[in-house]
Parts: sequence; structure tokens; C-alpha cells
Amino acid sequence: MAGASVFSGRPDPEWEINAGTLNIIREKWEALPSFAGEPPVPPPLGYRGCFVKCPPGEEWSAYGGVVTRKIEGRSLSRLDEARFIEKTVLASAPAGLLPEIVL
Amino acid sequence: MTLRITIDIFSGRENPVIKLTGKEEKDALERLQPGAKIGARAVGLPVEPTLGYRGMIIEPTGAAAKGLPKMFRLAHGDMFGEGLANRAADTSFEDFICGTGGPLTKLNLGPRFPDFVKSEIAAYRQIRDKYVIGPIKVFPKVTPCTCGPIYEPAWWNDAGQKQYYNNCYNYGCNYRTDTFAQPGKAAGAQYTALTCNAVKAAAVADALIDSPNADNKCPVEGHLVALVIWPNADFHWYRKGKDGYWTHKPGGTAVTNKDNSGAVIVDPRTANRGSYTNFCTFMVVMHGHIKIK
Repeated sequence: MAGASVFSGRPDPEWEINAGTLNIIREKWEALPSFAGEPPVPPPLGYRGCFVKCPPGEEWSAYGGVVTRKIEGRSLSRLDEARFIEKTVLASAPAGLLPEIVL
Repeated sequence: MTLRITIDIFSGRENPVIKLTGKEEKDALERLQPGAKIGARAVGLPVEPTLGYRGMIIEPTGAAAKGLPKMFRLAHGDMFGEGLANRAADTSFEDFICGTGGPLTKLNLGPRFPDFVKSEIAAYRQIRDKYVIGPIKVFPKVTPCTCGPIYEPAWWNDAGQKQYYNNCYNYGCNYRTDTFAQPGKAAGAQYTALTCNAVKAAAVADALIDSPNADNKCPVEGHLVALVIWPNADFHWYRKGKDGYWTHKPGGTAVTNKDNSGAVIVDPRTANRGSYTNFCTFMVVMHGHIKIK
């Protein structure tokens, strides 16, 4: 399951993500450098990042060039300056589900 | 450490952000060292935010930023922030940012963008010339609202049931339902379009009172809320608190008293609302009268 934190009144959109897209994300993750700094803070209103949740407990979140993977209670962040993973997740949404998001 | 510089210029789109580190950060901070104080009768900032360029929002960090607040605004070499009303050491700091080869050119926003920003900077100077400084206050003066709800973010921001299952409408109405309430749903009249008229009508069905002429003033009874719309995408609500300031809760995220520029909200009509460009109306919430779901 993938989704974007973007709305305030309406529930945030979520959609199914296919195995092929997930594999692309995993491959890209392996190639990213580690990130130990302060992650970028999104503004209160509007687009605040996207996420992918894979049972039984793996979760990805991405915003502003930083991707964080949580698995088995551990969290690790990597730098994705080109925002490849973020763009891949957002592009996997069904047409018309997301408003226009300027990255 | 990073020096973050936001070009405060857009209304709907995200503002460009420059992040300087290392030698570039050090150089910029030297240019931003406070110089001569800006005195009374000097040119200040417009009392209400305007469209177009509104200055640069600068956020320094680290020891090198000694003498500067955590966030301040710079326009035409003038710096304004908490405890800061000074000319910058480099009064042409904006030329440094937007000039040929300057940090702005590295954002790859197109070859014409720096010149566009420079023309906006010049236009903003003409706007500023109308505003002469009086006594400098850290926060704008607001009138407290006797019947307004208190600002208690810790109660809402529990990183659990309350935070994730209550949205801007819940918070605006000060009414926890844990259902991510939708305007009109409790009355069987949920909005069917993301427009001012449709969402306002739905809120009226929930017994909120439309008060388009409230003009940011505290109601005699109940508390004031404001409805804004991201056209065809979403709605958002703000509420005016007991202290007279406005606060909000964007979806399942934390309650905050800041707008998208990081500024305390004194009037949602002029706050930085990101994509929620349409200000619809003020409404009054009468405690005990409304029902939302």
C-alpha cells in the first residue's frame, strides 16, 4: 500500500502498489548513500511526503530528498537528492487520485 | 550546519529554497551580520502580506549564527526578526543571491528566473516605501477572545488516536469524533464538491453559522473559524483561540500555530496557506449546538 500525506480535510489518498514498482524502490534504496542529518521539514499545509507500507512491518517514507526505511523497529535514512523514490511512489498512483504536486 | 534561505515570492506554488553549507554558508553569514539599527521613521514591512516577492526568510543554525535569531526576514538589506531590526553588513545581499552565478542560479529554475526575482525585488521596494516603522513589536497585537478555545497542542498531538483520527474540521470545531469528520456528514448533507459554496453549505448543515463579515473579530458567543479551499482538491479550517491567535490541524498531522512560512497566524486571510488559495468565509461555532461526524 502506498499513499501521500497531502490533504487536511479529506483523508489522504492511498493506493495499491505493485511488486514491480516495489522492486524498483528496493533496488534504488540499495544504491543510495546514508543520511544522518536533520530530515527536511515539510510545511503544515499541502504535500508533506509519501509512504509505502509492506506487511508484515516494513515501511518507507520519503520527503524532500530523504528516504527512511523502518523495519523490525529499526529506522534508517538515506539521501535521494534526485527524489527518485519519492517520484516513483507518486507516479504509481492511479490517474486523477493525487492533486498536482510540485516537488 | 545549513543556512536556509527561502525566497518568499509565490502564493500557490512552493517557494524556492536555497540551502548553503560550508564555505558558502560562512560567506553568507558574514554578509548577514547585523549592522546599523533600523530606527523609527525608517521604511518597514507592509502590515499585511502582499502578493509577489515579500523578502527572503532566513534560518541560520550553529555557532556561526551568533547574533541572529532562528528565523528572520530580509528585504533590500533590512533584516527584521526577534530582537533584530538592523541593516545587513552586505546591504546588497539580494544581489548576491540572485546575481550571475549566485546561489539562486543553482536551483535550476530556468535562465530567466533570477531576473524575474530581481524585478520582483524592485517592485517590492515601491510597496515598502509606503510603510514607515512605528514602535517595533515582536508579534502583532491581537485581541483575545473570551469564548475562544485554548491552544493546547499537546492534547491533540498524541501521535495516536486523537492526532491521526481527527482532522482540521474536528480541530476547528474543537470537537473530537475520531472519524476524520467531514462537513455535512452528520446531517446527511456532506459536501459534493470542493468549492467554497459546497463546503460552506455542508458546514451550515452541521449548524456552523456563516459570518462572512466577521472581519477576524471575536464573536460575542462561540468561537470563530475560517474555511479555505484548495480548488477542486481539499478544504481546510482554522480556529481563532482564546488568546486571539489562529491555529490549525492539517489532516492527521500535528496541531500548529504556524503557517507555511513558519509565521504565527494572526489572520488566515493573509497567512501563507500554500495551495489553499481560496479564502471562503468566517463561521461561528456555537459550543453544544453543532454536531459533526
